[in-house]
Amino acid sequence: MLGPSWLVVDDSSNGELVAAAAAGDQKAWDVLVDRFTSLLWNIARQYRLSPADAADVVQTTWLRLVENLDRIADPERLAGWLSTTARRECLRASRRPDLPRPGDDFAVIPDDGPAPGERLLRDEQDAALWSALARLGEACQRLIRLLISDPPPSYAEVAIILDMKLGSIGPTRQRCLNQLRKLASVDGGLT
Amino acid sequence: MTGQAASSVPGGAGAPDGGDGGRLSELADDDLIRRLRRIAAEADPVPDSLYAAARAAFALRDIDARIAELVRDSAMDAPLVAVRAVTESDARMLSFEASDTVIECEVTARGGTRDIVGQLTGGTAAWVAAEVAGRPPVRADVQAHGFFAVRGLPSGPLRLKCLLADGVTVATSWTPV
Repeated sequence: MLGPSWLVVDDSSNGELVAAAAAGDQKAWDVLVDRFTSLLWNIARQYRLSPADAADVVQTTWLRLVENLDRIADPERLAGWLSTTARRECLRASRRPDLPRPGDDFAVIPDDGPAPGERLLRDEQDAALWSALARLGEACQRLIRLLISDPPPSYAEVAIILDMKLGSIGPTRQRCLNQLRKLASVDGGLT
Repeated sequence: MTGQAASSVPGGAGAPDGGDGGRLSELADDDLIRRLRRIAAEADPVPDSLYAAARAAFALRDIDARIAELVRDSAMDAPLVAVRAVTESDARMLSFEASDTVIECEVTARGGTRDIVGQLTGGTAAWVAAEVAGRPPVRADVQAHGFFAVRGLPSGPLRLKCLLADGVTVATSWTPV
């Protein structure tokens, strides 16, 4: 039998948490939720989905993990499993016939919240940075949005999620942030 | 080393937010990442209700059910780029399979609600329960030839469950509708 729930702590490994959750431990599940929900949200928000549809994708991803708790072959690659599931569901959501999509001239976007970045940022430099993030190249946006998840994934997890070499993450991050600074400076008239 | 490295990652959430108000060109990479994390929390926060729904997902675990996997979704066959209006007639076909048991259904969107007409083959059951995550399941009788219908479901992640005559519970993989 697996350890009792008081042995599950916030820094337990993914493997320990998955095993404890598979044995029925809600506390272990909650730690997983706290660890990865922001990451999944940041992935889902890179697709053109409304906040409500992005939330459905993230919730579905967790429901799929519930369904597969006994079948996760390599729990230490859990971040990769979750992000693959979320991206597949984002793709599905972006193709659903009942949801508006880019190019739908007549579609009415459901009014269920502000689009990314539409929520007012009062600080001018914050607004310039946020707007610059949305204009970065796709590869850079993906990396930076992963890294600003709370808590952020480890570089090993980033490497799995984005199929990058571990050693290239640091240099890529530096290059992407330099581009971001440039875009934000030009846009916001900031230096 | 995976999973719990938050505090050891450069720019990790544990470090104080620094550098606000300074010149961007002088803002160190780690500080810029931290600042973007704070901005994201302000401009595009994870809804609190999503954390609650994700925690509640655990209670929906059914360890006895055989999972019918989603094997076909007409939405994935549709062209990605299409200029078209959303109409009342848009329907989506979903097929789920658990070994010999097949559940096929047509999902029609009517505003915020969904109508489902489906067919169960490769097994017999008296009813099908349609469950949208966070809502009580809705039962529908299975008619001749395995047909069933559920109307007026809210949109959201859905699973269909049925108890087959041979005592096996089949549950479809969660799928947003």
